[in-house]
Amino acid sequence: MSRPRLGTALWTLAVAVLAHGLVRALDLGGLCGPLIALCAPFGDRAGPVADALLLAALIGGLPLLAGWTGRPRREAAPEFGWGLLSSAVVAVVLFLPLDGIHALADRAPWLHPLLLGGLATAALFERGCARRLATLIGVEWLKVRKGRLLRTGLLVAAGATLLAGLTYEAAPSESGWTRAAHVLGVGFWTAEILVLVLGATLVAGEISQSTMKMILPHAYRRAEWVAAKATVLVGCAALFGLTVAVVGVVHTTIDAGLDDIVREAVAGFGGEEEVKVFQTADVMRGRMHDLILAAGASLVASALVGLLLSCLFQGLVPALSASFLVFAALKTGDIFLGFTRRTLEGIYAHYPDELRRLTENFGRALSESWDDTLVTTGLTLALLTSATALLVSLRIFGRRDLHG
Amino acid sequence: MSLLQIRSLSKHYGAVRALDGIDIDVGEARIHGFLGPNGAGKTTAIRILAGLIRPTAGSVTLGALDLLGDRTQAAMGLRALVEVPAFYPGLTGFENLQVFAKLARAPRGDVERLLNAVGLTAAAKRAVGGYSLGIAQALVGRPRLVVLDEPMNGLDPAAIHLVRELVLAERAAHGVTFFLSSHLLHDVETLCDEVSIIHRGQVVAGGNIEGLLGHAVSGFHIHTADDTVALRALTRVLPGAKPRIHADGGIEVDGDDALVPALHRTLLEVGVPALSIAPMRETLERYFIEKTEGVMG
Repeated sequence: MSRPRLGTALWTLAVAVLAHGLVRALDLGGLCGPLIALCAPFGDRAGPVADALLLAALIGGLPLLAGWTGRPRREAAPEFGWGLLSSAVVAVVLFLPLDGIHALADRAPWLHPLLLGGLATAALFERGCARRLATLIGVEWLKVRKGRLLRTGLLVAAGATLLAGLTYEAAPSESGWTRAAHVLGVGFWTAEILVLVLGATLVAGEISQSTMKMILPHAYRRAEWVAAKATVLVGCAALFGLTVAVVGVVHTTIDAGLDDIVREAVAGFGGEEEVKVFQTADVMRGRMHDLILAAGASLVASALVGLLLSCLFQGLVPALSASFLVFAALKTGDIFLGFTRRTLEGIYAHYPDELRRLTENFGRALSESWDDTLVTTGLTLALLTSATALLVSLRIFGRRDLHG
Repeated sequence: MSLLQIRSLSKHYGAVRALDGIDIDVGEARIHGFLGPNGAGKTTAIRILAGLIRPTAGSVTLGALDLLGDRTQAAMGLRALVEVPAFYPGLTGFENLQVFAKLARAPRGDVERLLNAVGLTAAAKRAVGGYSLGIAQALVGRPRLVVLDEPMNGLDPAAIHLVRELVLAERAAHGVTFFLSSHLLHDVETLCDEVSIIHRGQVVAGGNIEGLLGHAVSGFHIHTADDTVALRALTRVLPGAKPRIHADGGIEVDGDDALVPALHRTLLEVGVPALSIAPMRETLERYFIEKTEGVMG
């Protein structure tokens, strides 16, 4: 019977800190009434403790549960129990005395990237790892580059962006910025589902077509395979983002122009018509840059969520089905799942849409206030989701038996 | 010193013991046959060696390195082809092999050498598959140990010949060790130096093929001038030897060396002396059936 090791505990601790930001943003603690009630003895700390326990179950329990598959129950059950217990202890120990972890994370935005970097370093950088990783990235890139999905996907994303521009019917008073935001919105929406599908095929696809059993016998750690696939996936997401951005911006610039946004007003009775610059092109370019940045980060996060789904399922069909469901929840959760605005604000995919809406309204010279925190929150959530998805993928795939 | 050492290797699925503490040693540059009926645990063991599944208990060392603990060092010289080979559909034969050459850090020119060896040089720029390319993938980068799961299953005679020749050539040229499972006992008998027979998750027999079969005489093949008279006499005098006419002529009897004087005496008494009495060796097939209680794979 295995016992929890220090490495496992530290791993859980670091992942818990990373994922805690996500839980806070999603306000899961608020949704967990029964869990909070269970934590009532902790008084005013019941919320953080409930968060911690939830994390323990999610982060410590899910991968262990996945690792349980195919193992004798009598032997796996104690390990599962120990894993869950150690996760819970680590999480509670972390959050209970360190009440200021919230404030610390707020004061130090570099905390999460630092932890992520530390984890990646600890997990991957041993002797010869960099060379092995470089080899695997080369191999993965060759496979993705030669596969149909990337090339077809890029064409589809570019085509959808262009089509959105060509079929757009502009109102008389609106500027090219509205059109650009709309076109980019369509393009990124299309790209998002494509990267999610690409991510979902990377591991499950290889298992389905049996190539996984050909490559795994080689002298690489499974974590290195996942890291290489994730790296290539991030590159592909960037390529999708770049394609959509270039096609959308170039088409709109040629077709409608991206100039200053002006407001026309008559200065008093009998006065002359006055034209005022409402937003300069420079300011709007900065906002468009923010929109593309947030949408790009969202693409990366969705791609890595796809990779996580790919690691969860043996077959390609379940992985793809799950990715479509996730996409539906991300993009239409408010309509079909009744997500409140507060819940939506906890999802990374909400921010590019929100920034697009604001940009469209600015382009119509409507009075809006630009909220700089939307970009930072969107980026932070995308980063946290990416990190959590990657780490859980590493954990799940590393422990899984591959049958069939 | 064995190249591959498997000790107390077990894999349990709930109450089912797919592998129940097997021990196997494979020496350097040996061809080791891994035999067993369907469901005996062959593929489970091979999947563990290939790193596809984790054992419940036990250890595997390859050249004194722990294969189950850290594959990054121990699996450097290991290749495995589990069941039928698979290929990346978007890649040509050359590119498919190149993927594995990169993974194995194979020397320059190894891809061309192997494509030539399996007769696929002309088809290298097409999206090709087949077992020939699969075995080329398993041999890329000069491995020390190659694990092949049913390598001759479903192949035509020419492909079986190619696989056999490749295995022997790689062993002779580079001292490659092979660990292969197969249902084709005749091929195993002619190709392998040693075998392990697994049944219900346990190794029930193992060792050098000559050692296992060489000394055991299972019967005799007798030629006489009149097989009908000889058979009648043998059946009357030695019914326990189960005399019978062989399809290719002559008479077959069961028994060991102690039977020979009685055979000569009986045949001389009826006036049809033996023209030849050839001992019949134990075949791997008979040995396998005996060890696995008649369960054929």
